[in-house]
Amino acid sequence: MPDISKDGDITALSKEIQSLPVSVSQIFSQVDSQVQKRFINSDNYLLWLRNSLEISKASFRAWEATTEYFRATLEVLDNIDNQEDLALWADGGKRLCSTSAPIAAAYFRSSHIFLTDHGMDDLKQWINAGESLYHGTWKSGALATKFFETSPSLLFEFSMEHLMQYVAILDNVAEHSSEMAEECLLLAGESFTLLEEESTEGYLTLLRSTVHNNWKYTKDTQRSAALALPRVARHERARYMDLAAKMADERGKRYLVFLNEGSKSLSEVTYDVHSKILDMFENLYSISPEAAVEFIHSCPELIRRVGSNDMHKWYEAGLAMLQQNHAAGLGFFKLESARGESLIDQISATIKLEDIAPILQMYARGLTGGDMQLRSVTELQERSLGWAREEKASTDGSNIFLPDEISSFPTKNENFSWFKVLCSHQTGHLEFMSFNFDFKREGNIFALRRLATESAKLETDGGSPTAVLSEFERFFDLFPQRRLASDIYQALEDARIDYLTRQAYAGLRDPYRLVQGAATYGRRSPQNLPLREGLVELLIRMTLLEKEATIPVPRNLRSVVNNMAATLDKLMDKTALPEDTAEACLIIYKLLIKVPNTPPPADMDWDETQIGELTEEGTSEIQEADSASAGGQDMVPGSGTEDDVEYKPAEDVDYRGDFKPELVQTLANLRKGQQQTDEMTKSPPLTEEMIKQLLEKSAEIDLSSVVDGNIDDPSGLFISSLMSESIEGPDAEFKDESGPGGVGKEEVESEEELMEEPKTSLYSEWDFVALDYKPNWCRIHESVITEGSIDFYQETVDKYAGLINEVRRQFEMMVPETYRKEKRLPDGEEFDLDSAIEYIVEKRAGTAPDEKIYWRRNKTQRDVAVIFLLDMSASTAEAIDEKELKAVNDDDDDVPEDPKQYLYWLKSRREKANRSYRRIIDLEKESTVLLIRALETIGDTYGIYGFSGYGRDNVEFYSVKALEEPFSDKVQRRIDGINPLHATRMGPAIRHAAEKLDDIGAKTKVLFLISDGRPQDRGYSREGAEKEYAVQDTHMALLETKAKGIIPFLLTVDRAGHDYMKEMCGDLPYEVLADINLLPKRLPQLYSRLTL
Amino acid sequence: MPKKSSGSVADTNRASYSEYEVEEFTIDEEPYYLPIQDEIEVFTAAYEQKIPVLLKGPTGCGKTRFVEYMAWRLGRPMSTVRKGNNQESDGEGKPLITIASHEDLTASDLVGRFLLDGEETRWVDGPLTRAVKAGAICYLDEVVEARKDTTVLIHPLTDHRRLLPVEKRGQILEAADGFLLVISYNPGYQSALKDLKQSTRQRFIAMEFEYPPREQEAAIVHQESGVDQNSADLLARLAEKVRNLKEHGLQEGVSTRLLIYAGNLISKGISPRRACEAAVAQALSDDPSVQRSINEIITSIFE
Repeated sequence: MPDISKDGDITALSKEIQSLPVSVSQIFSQVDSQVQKRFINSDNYLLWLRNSLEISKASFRAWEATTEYFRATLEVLDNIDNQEDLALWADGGKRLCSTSAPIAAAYFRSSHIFLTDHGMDDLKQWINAGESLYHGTWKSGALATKFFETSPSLLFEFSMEHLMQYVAILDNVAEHSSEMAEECLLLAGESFTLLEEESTEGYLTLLRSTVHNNWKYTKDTQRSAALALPRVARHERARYMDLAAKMADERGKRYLVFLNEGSKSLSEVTYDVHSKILDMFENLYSISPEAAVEFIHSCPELIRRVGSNDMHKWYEAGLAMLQQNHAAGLGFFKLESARGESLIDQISATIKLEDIAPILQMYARGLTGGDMQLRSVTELQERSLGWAREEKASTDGSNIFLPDEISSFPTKNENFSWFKVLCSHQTGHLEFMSFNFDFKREGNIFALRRLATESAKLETDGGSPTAVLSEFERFFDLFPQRRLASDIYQALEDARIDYLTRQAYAGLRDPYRLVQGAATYGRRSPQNLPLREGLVELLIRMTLLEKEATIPVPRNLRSVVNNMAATLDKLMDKTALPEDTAEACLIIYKLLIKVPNTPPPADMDWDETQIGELTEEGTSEIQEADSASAGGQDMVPGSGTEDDVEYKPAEDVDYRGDFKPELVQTLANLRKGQQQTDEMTKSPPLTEEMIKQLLEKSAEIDLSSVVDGNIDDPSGLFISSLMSESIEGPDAEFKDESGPGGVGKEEVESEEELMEEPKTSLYSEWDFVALDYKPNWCRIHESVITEGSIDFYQETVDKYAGLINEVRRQFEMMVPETYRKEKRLPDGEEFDLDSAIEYIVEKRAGTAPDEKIYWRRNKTQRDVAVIFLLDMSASTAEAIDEKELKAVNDDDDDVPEDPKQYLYWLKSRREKANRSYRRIIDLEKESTVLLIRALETIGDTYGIYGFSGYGRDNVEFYSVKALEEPFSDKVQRRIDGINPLHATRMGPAIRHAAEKLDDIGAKTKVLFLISDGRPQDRGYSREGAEKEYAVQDTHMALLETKAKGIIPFLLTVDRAGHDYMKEMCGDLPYEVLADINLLPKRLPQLYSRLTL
Repeated sequence: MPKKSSGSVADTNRASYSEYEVEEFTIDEEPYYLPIQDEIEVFTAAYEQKIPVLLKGPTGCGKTRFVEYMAWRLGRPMSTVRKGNNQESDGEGKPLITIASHEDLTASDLVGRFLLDGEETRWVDGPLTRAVKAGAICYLDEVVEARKDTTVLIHPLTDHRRLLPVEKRGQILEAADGFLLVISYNPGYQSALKDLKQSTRQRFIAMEFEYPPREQEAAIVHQESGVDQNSADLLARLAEKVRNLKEHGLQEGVSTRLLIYAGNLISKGISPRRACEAAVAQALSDDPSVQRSINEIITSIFE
């Protein structure tokens, strides 16, 4: 230390520092010596000391900052080497400290990180940024502190310039709320890591707009936008942010939806369509922001259904609709429009099974002549029968399982062809008797060698034939390598079916070519497989390709392939039977088992050879002598087994699906066995052990794939499902109570449960603002009403005895005479004397006589079917008298939206119902009893149903008496079960009832609806037109009913009904009953008038 | 007595159509009929024993053709009303009077009625009366469709009495020798309401007709429509498949008659798929999805 004066200064300064509060001086002592060593230049050291003192004096509590200053020094010194910079660093701190010590402290704490990464150049800016956040308040101080703490790490992702912009934004937020700004800052680190350089500008623009318009959402925006960006295609990110910013300028939260949901939608489609979608979105946004957001939300589903190339057609149609009618367009873009749906179906090339199932089912029935059921493979998987893997078509002999949809080809026609080929292949199995295999029966083409092989095998094994569940099991038992045999058999049998189908159905040849051609793509290359597997793959390819096509053949295995080809070719014969397939399988198995399943040597030669050529060179004969002398030795792998790779089953051919002959036959045998036990005849019982044994050895079932691992004994479960399958058959849903005998008690119960389950059906709803249906909007749950006491019926009959007699007389008069004499006919049985005389008189008088002078008896038949639909809404619980009082101000019974309120509201209504008043529903019930008495006298077909519900997914539809159900005690008891329930969604109930009537073949059909007020339900409305919406939907439902040739009639007991009934019914008949007490009397009158 | 003078108009100058009195309508050329079983022998025996015959079977399976063929085969001299060469009986057919029944067919429609003629009434025989008098085969098609009062007439005619009461004129007609009542009936789609009563059905021997087996049907289609044998085979195969759909959406399977129509169209150059669509799919059902299913079968079978 050469300069003494400086040394004096240093001593003085050090002393001064030592006199600072203990916490400061302590730190000083800790670092001092080290710092001193680092400063080569004592001036700098002096400066350092001086600065520390200045800082410590800069403000109250400045010691905090000073401590940090000391602490930071050592690390900072790694990055600072000259006096200027040191001054700059310390001066910044000093300045900060003069405003707030904690800020300065934070500054010193973070500065070394900052300096390490960014050097001195930006230090000033950084300090300014922090400083700008401080506005003299405690809160802003905290924010600035946070800023210094977190910003160095932010700068990993952000440039200084961007950070400055962000700080400006933060500052703006802080004007409104420092807390919000602080939260934003905390989130910033997490958010910024998701950003990329090029989208940052847009991001900041968006944040600026947000702060400007909706500062409260800044935090949400910051996070959402950061999450959204990576989901959007890179080249569209800037635009995406701009769009969001533009939307944010309009206030409201819509842009947040766009950020969250929109980007989510985009992430569900491929990047290449993002531009297109955003173009559309932008355009649409200028017309209707609301619709644009819905549009982007619907995009993934839309693209899934119509593909990205055709989505513009849909979009343009929607745009046109939007311009005409905003509500309609909105519904369209929400995918809640019937017109939109039908358009999508039209554009889409996808074929859905549900749409074509009825057609293909008939087709399959036609081809097979059996009572085939077409089902979806998903259903099969749900039945936990480990049958089909993935989405593969298959059949179990009475059901055909097909995938849910096919969209592999660009046009509807091609996709349908694919479905048709898929279906035809499965029906082919049935038509050409794949499952009708008999072990002992000789085929038409190949000689019978199975029996000899079996006895040879038994001889070697020294066993006797074991009991088998199916002929196929016996056959596959011949093969030590079941999987190989199963693969060969499947390939050959599929080939046989394809061949026979193509022979018998010339029209299928073209679609078959298309599908078979496509089937070879994407299959594993035989060159890359172990040899034996490779040969199986070659066999499969030969079954798919035309004779002219070529396949790669390993040169040294040429003769094996030749013989395989020849055998396959021989099987392709119009008279081939499954037994022939079995023989061919045996031949090929013997060929292949000798080939070791080793990976092909690298130097192996492969020749592309035409299949036709192979066929000519090969032979399908195996040397008899060989097989005889071998004594079964030709059924096991040849020498060189030590090199064998375990044989892995071949890949399925897509369109051929899964073929499980052994399982199908077993199932058929189980069913047969079941029937036989029913008939009390003797039959060999199938034990669980036998099935278990089958399952263990069968190559067709992979038990591990059947059930998830957490079930102890998968085979047990499989057996039980197989057993129940064979008992119940696949369509347990149609079972009635008189199910097959021998069913355990448990199953009976479960069957009953099954019956109890309400049937559901979907109906569309009419939106009068959009002038369009909302497709499949309401779900009807239909169930039989709970039975009540039979007393009610009897009491009513007694009470109204007089009226009943009167009504009955009235109805009896309605019954027409079976024959009625009709007069004045131009032709008939005999002259009508009066007319004949007139004729003569007129003729004599010289006028032209009327030639209609015959009479005949004409038969007229009454043929009426009617459904009575009772409103079971909660309002029917009202007492009749009260109702009268309330009738004037009836508007307060709007159903509350909130479920809690609703329950409360419901409860209060129910309480009212417990009073001893006579309720509206009581009168409805009594009228029903009267009607039943009357209807039974004239023999009309009638059904009584009640409806209620809550929300569009819970429209309840109760059957009191089904249309064709005979009248019984049960019906009497059910009438008592009619009770007030929830809301009144009339539309779907009417549609459902009309659907029921539509299925009935009566000349006159009537739908008679009895209600106590206007239709209303939660969500049965539309903004701005709450009541109107329900009325209009009901009106539309009534019009639909009429279009079906059914006479709808509405009877309401709501005296205030005139105002809406007119609108609801239009020119359809209705009646408003002035006095509800007249209902029992009036109802039969109306009915007789309607059906006359 | 008949309003129009008897006599064939066929030999007059306006010969673009032929007009016959019902009794005179005989089948002179052998109609094509391919016997499936022993129906010819049974019918001939019944005819000789004067036992009325009930033909059962679905529409278009050949019932009417069979009756025509039998009328030709049993051709024999006419006993009444015929003028002209009724002595030459060889090669002449037997008169065949076919009456299609419908819901409003009454007894008077069959027996006859009074008509006004000037200021007088005149009795006109109905077709059944004329058949009884002429000793013709009277073929009542779809008999269950007719009104119940017709059974009053059928009953006395079909037992040993062979009498036709003509109530309005106070007469009873005894059937001429060659008279035979044949009725047809399709048990398939008639509802239980219209089932034939036991008292009626037990007056007939019954013969069941089915659509012919595939090879024979192909032969019939080939012969009748002139379509090539291959197409006829495919048509027969189509028929077999479509008939599988009976009760599964179709009330009736496709009739041989329709197959012949399809064959006719094909031999006139219509493409097989189009011909079958028109003659089978469209003809059988109005339900678009059923039509579609049948069309899919057609497009599978025909190229």
